Amino acid sequence: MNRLVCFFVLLTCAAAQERVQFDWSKLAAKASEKVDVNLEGPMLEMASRFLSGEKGDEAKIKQLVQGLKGVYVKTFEFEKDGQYSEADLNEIRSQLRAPEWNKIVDVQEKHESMGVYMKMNGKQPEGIVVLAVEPKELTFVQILGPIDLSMLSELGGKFGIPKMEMGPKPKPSPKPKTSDSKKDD
Amino acid sequence: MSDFEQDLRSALRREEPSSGFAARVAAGTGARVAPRRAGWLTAAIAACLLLSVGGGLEYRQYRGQKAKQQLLLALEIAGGKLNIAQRKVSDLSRRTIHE
Amino acid sequence: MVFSIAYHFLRDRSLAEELAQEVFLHLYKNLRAIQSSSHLVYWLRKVASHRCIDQARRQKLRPRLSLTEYLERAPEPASRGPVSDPLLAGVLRRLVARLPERSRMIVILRFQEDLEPAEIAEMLGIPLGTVKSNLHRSLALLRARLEREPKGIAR
Repeated sequence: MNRLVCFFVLLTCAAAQERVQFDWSKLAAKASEKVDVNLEGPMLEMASRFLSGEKGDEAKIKQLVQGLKGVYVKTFEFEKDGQYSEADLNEIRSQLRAPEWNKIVDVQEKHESMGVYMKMNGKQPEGIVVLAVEPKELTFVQILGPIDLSMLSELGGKFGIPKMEMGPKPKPSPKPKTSDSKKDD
Repeated sequence: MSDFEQDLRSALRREEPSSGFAARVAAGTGARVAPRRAGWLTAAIAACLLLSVGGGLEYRQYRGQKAKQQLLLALEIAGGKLNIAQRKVSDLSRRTIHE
Repeated sequence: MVFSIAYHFLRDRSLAEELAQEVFLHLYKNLRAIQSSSHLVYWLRKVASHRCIDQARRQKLRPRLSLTEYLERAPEPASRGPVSDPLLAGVLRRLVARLPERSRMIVILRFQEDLEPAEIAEMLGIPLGTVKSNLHRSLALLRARLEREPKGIAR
């Protein structure tokens, strides 16, 4: 009986580890504006069913979300700088240092950072996390399941999803920009 | 659905309140709210009774549309941030090449 | 709908009307929260469900009448449409009324309101697995109780 209990505890822990978990309540309490999307299981299926299978763009999104296990987005906007710190994010970052997560993009600028992490099962992507840290805005995106990044890039420009450039365009060297979080959005 | 479940569905078919229910509710609440609104409330209750005949359909419509909006918003934010990441990487690699 | 949920749950017409009245008063006070007609129905259903469960818990409504006593009670009010076997329908309603509060509401939302288990879980704020297992157990219990009925009622 004890072994059975231990087995179920381990199974529960393993299932919980599939998703990066974090208690956002402390940060949410300080934010002036929030976006909180948690779509998984039946709700994600329902959302997908309500996408048109006939109209070109919604049909592509419908295909994109096929097979996904969960879509989670947290965005917090703060009125002032310094209302949260890097230390507040240590717990998330430590979970993303687990072997199954690979950091594929790591951009550090003066007051901003952006990390994109992918979870792979062999050659098959199993999830993606984006953590965007700015002085007055924090965004955490987690998509679990076989996300097709190239399909996501094809949807560029639709429904406000900006097009992803898959390679740098030849341009003259720009003057260094001052960081401005509003511009990036 | 099995025969038993069909029987349950028939047995639990919606029951209507006795006649004058809407007026009685409005009269009862009219004592607690401004009397001039009691007529409005009767109309609202009648509308609710009419709207409720659709069974689970209205609920699914509401939840489905809300879920779809959330999904599109989530993908918009995700795509936007990925695009910014791609742009930052491109900017950095251009700066590295030109240095 | 609101009255019907309350009536099948509480099995008392006057209590059901009283509860329905409270729900509509609550609606009146919270009209600003209503976003659409479909949201209205969802809201009414949710508030009615929760209030019924609260009401039953307060009154500890778990009738322990025998089936004979059930059958001797006042006749059922006329339903909207024809039922295949009115006697069976009456017995089933009374058997449903003997289920524990949460199970009773799950059965009513499933078979009267035609909601899917996921929708019921969301409405009652309980896990989907709990709804499914509860539904499964309730149906088994109702079948078993129905089997013990005198012949001519049970299938």
